[in-house]
Amino acid sequence: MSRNCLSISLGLLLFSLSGLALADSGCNQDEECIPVGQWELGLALGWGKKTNPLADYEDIPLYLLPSVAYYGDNWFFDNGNLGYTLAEDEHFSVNLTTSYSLDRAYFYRWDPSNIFIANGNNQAAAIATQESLRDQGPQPAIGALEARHFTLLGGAEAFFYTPMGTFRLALGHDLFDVHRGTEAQIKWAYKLALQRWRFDLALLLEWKSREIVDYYYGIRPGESRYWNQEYRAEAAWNRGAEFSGRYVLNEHWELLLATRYTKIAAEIVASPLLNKDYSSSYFIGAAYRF
Amino acid sequence: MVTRGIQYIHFGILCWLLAMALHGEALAADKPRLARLKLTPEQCITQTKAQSCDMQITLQWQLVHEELICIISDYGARQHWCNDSPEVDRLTLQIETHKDIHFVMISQATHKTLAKAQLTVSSVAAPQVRRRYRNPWSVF
Repeated sequence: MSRNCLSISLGLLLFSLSGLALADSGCNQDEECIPVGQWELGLALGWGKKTNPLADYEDIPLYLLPSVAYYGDNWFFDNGNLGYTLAEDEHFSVNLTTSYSLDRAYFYRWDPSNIFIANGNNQAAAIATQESLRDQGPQPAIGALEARHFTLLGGAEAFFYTPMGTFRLALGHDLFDVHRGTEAQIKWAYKLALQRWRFDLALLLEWKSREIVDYYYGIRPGESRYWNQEYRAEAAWNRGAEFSGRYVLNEHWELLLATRYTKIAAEIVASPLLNKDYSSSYFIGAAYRF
Repeated sequence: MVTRGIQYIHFGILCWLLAMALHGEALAADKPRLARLKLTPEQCITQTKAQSCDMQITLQWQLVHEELICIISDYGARQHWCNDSPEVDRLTLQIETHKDIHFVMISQATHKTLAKAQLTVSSVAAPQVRRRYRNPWSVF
């Protein structure tokens, strides 16, 4: 009941902001701008890899990165995220938005986060316990993993544009009652344009509720009764950094280097499913915008 | 004498052909082979995308056969109009719109489409842009 009240209150607060006119797009040369009412499609071809922190799961190679976006006057779709802009100003934006958790992508190749990625191991493999992180004797093995279902998170995000960069606050809750969890993000991003170069740097903190951590990284009784009792999921803060550098060749082509590093929270690393306390991604290639 | 007679005959044939051609053209103007629906004006140009077209437009039609017609449009305020006399051959409307309006003229008797016309709304303003909230090449 209290959860519903909170959702309704949040909704009313956000819709009250919608009275603010979208007076100024605030889009300038230092920012990524997109024409209103037109699809923007792009495809990057190259080589990269996303490391998988799950034990016995293979790293995920990256060959193609798609980019699909459509921005209307208020609605927008951007690489799988659907949103509605409630307020847009020179100094801030407020959106209702959907997003999806990156955690499931470690388990399934065809998770939306892994689109166009080949050779990912999507088998429910028997997981050995994490020898590298635990300097202990042999531990009970974990059986075949049960399904970790896909879900969308729905919530709100706010951007604050300052001379020191852009700050993003986001909050999302499970929309389909899969894990009933909540995620939050605090992100600082800085953009720099030097002649034909475009640099993007970001530092972020991601909070995951206990429900999310338990759903993806917890051990179910059918997988291992021992670990089901041994590992207790808790809410966790991941830390991350992103960097992308682009060299614009012409209107359509650009060279691209993109990297991301995530330091996984100790509460998640404590799960016997993991044998790494980080995940890193990189991609280098050429991108074409249609 | 014979030659002059032949010249008169040729001249007569030419006059007859010319008269027939002019008569046929006049008939075609009165009774077109296909029904026509003419919209005036056909274009509305605004300064900004947000600005609406607030104007008077006239629909005028010509029919192959004398008959009663209806005009159907996707303009919310006036989606359907029918004449009650074949002598009525035009319709004037006051419209306010942000988007194109399509008009279709149909026969009241057969309900077949006779002709179409379109009001096109366009803006001289540069394409509007807005912030993109996601990095297009994010490595997930």
